[in-house]
Amino acid sequence: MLTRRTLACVAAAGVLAASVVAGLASSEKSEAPAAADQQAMLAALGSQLFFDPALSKNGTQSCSTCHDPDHAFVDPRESVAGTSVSLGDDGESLGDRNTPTLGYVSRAPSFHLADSGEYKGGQFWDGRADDLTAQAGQPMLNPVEMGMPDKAAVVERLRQNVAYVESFDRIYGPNALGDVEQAFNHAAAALAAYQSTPEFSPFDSRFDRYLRGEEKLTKQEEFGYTVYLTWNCRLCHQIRTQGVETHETFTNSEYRNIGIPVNHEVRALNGKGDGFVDPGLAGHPGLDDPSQKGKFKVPTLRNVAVSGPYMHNGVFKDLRTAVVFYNKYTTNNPKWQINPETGEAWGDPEVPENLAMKELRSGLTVSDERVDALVAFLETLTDKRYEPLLAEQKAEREAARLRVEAAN
Amino acid sequence: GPREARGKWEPQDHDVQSCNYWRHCSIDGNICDCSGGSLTTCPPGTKLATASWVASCYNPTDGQSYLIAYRDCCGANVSGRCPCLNTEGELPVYRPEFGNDIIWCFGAEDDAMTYHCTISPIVGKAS
Repeated sequence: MLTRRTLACVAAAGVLAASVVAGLASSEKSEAPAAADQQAMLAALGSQLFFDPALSKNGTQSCSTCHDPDHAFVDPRESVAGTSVSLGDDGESLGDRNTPTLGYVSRAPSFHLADSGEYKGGQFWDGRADDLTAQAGQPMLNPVEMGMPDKAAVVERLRQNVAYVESFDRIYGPNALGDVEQAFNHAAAALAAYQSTPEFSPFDSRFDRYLRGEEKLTKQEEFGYTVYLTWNCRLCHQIRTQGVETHETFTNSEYRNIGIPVNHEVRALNGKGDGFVDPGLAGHPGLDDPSQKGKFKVPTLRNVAVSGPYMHNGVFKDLRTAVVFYNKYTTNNPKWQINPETGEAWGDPEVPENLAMKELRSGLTVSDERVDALVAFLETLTDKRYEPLLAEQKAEREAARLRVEAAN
Repeated sequence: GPREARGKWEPQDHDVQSCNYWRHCSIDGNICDCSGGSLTTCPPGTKLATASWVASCYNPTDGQSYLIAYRDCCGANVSGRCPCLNTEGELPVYRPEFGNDIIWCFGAEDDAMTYHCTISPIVGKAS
């Protein structure tokens, strides 16, 4: 006859047996799948956070508002500043830098001083976040972006959502949203995990397909690739100086000042005023180094054709303009001293010091034919999902060209 | 294909200083390895140019073709050692500046403009 006492013993034995089995199971399992599961859960949570406007003060914008997945993770919204810079959650604040793509950002190394003597890696145009996790929380708390007052307010928004409470607890253990600092960091880690998924770095552009032998490039695209390799482009827009890279991101992740002029239109609208100078890398916390002033991270060229406007301040609308800008340094020919978008001179560099003259002054001017070829090549770096955008853009360009032709 | 049609080129993968080393399939000048440089580095005292020309060269060891971006080391008199001129594996599209030798040293430090020798680094895999 089972007494209350023996029942308790049986129950205890049962618990013990279960925990032994669990122990065996976890010791049989290698660490890797467990870590992979954790990463997958984290990425799924990150995906929810990425699209959630509750992480902005007035609840009007999420990460995806400015990093629109349908537009190569850049901001397609027109404001008074065009699409050069983005509008914040308050509906009136404008940034001072162009919203970059999040495509392939997870491939950048953490911020460090490279053997080349140049700083390398990190996130933001000026590298002020060491990595994606360090970056992810900043827009939430930036008053001109998502505008949350502090970390506690962000975590409070998370606590209000039952699904988040469950997800955080499942990944990080009971009461995972209890500690503000920890919970905020975990949310940032989830966003970083999401950005590290293949959704952001699919390597399925025409160029990738060409490298895999699945597709041919046109003669012009192939010529553009040749020009890219032989001219100075590849000195910065390539991971390695030599050798074969199967997952090329078209940036060495270093910082250069290429002498971009001020975007006066943006400065007049965002209140920075014309006296302001963007220090670039020199503004990186703890890096009080005047020799880094004016340097910005070399951006990936993947999806460049569908992520304009260009440069850190969105000063050039057209990809062709961004390409011909480099001719400024290789020739005195007046033709190449003019910004084709304004019909006026390019304008002085915002920071005239620390220009990357060694690379910029390669001595070769890119002819119109080669500019066209380079643009055609750069268009092949468009991820498959954005190829319809590219086709749309090309059709618009052709229609505009025909209108001009008809008018003449 | 065109490679067979050219016939004679028989690339090897053991002697960097020989003109038929596979990476030299479109080299035009002198091999830097013979004058104190290496296959991919300039000899001391010379300056690496940024400009280059590209060829697709076949590597007999792994059966793959690679893009070689030849670059010149400048700022010293021509080495005179291991001269080599190959046009194998060269596609017109890969040689946009053919016939315009003078550009080779552009972009070299200190405006060094005298040709010394050429290096043969890989910059990618040819499709």
